[in-house]
Amino acid sequence: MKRIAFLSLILILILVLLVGCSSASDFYVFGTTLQVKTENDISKKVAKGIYEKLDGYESIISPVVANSDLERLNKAEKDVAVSVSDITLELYKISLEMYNLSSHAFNPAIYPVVKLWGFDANTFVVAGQSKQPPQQADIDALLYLADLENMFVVDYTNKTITKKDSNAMLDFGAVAKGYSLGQLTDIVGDKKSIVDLGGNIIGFNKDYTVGIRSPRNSGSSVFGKFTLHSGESISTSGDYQRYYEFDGVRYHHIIDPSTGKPADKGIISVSIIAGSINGVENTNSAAYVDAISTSVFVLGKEKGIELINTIGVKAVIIYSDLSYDVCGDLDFIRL
Amino acid sequence: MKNEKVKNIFKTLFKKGDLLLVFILILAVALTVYLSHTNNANDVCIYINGSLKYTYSINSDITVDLSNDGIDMQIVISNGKVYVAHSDCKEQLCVHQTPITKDGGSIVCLPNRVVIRVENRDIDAIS
Repeated sequence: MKRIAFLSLILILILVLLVGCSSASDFYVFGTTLQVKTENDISKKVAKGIYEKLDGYESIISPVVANSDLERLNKAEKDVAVSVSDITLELYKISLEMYNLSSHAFNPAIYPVVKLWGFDANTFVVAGQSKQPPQQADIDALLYLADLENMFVVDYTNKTITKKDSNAMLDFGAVAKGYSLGQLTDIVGDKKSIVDLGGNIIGFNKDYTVGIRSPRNSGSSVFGKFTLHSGESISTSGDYQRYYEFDGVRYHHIIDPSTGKPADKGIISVSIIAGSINGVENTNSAAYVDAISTSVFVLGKEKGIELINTIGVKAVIIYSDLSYDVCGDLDFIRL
Repeated sequence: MKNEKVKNIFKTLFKKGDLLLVFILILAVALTVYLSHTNNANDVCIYINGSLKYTYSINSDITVDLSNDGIDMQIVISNGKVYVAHSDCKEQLCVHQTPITKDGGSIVCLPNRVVIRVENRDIDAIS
């Protein structure tokens, strides 16, 4: 009897160990899912370390987490210096650079208008509602706040940000996920791994095959695929990710700061891929990749491709008729 | 001395042929798991709260109701596609997401903590 019990125990143990690998689990952070794959399918230890680091970043830079830098800044009155972390200062710096490079198409100060549209994480509700777009007059009344350079005074020495208007607000949502992925090199080390934070993806120490989601319900759920080289990241901005419909019109979450309305330049999906910016490798390249995808979506085809070429990144742009452009040296295969 | 003791315990637990039996069993289990992974590469995996709860073939024709899990959500698998037909969540992002085919992808419903995923061995991740 003892022997049978012992043998059974060994068998159960083996089964648990083997089957356990297939029940891959996700973490939830930055309002999305985090999936980490390593050589051994899923390394829970690495995934947990990554989750904890990203969770730490979220608690600093998310505008909807209580007592985060941005939550305190956004509710602060004008002329009050708000203490912020180095991470927030670095994100502001990158954002300001992208704001100028993109002719203000990338603009974290558009947040009051995003909130008016109801696209911010706290208030986005679609179910059971006939959601109407906001009035033009209400949009126009807030557009003056989307002035990143003049509405915010940044003191890098004393690590503070001061608003020049109490209603001004910031959201690094279009750069924060990419930025955070770029800071994972130390945790990952030399492990071959791919980290997927809600479609913002970075690969380490190995080439991976990455797909681009079909923006519309066509034959396949994957529009095409390409090789993501080690150290490269991808970010995709699409009109299908967060939207609502009213009177047959789709209103999506990527707001054009020049009009205060959802960007409408014929693009429905932009994927930016890079491991370096202007030919220089750095940990912040994933942050730029994230910001460029939003910028190109807002700028449209011509100006968008100009920006892509200026910064030297790779891209796949999908237009509303499902035609597409591939920019840079990318082995893209349409599926 | 200690080694002798271990040897004796080992001998009482295993008879000669047992080790061979254990080895064959390990091999059989490993092979079964490997084959099931290989065959089910295009399975629809439904995770609730981060744990794998249901697995279906992408080729099945079924509506999966999660009411038994306390979730007001219906997932349809039909004609080689999987999509969310109904969810009580406030954002409806999962209902709006394009259906997943055998090429892979995932549909996420954050409020309900539900992830529907179709793995594709040729594609490591989807953006």
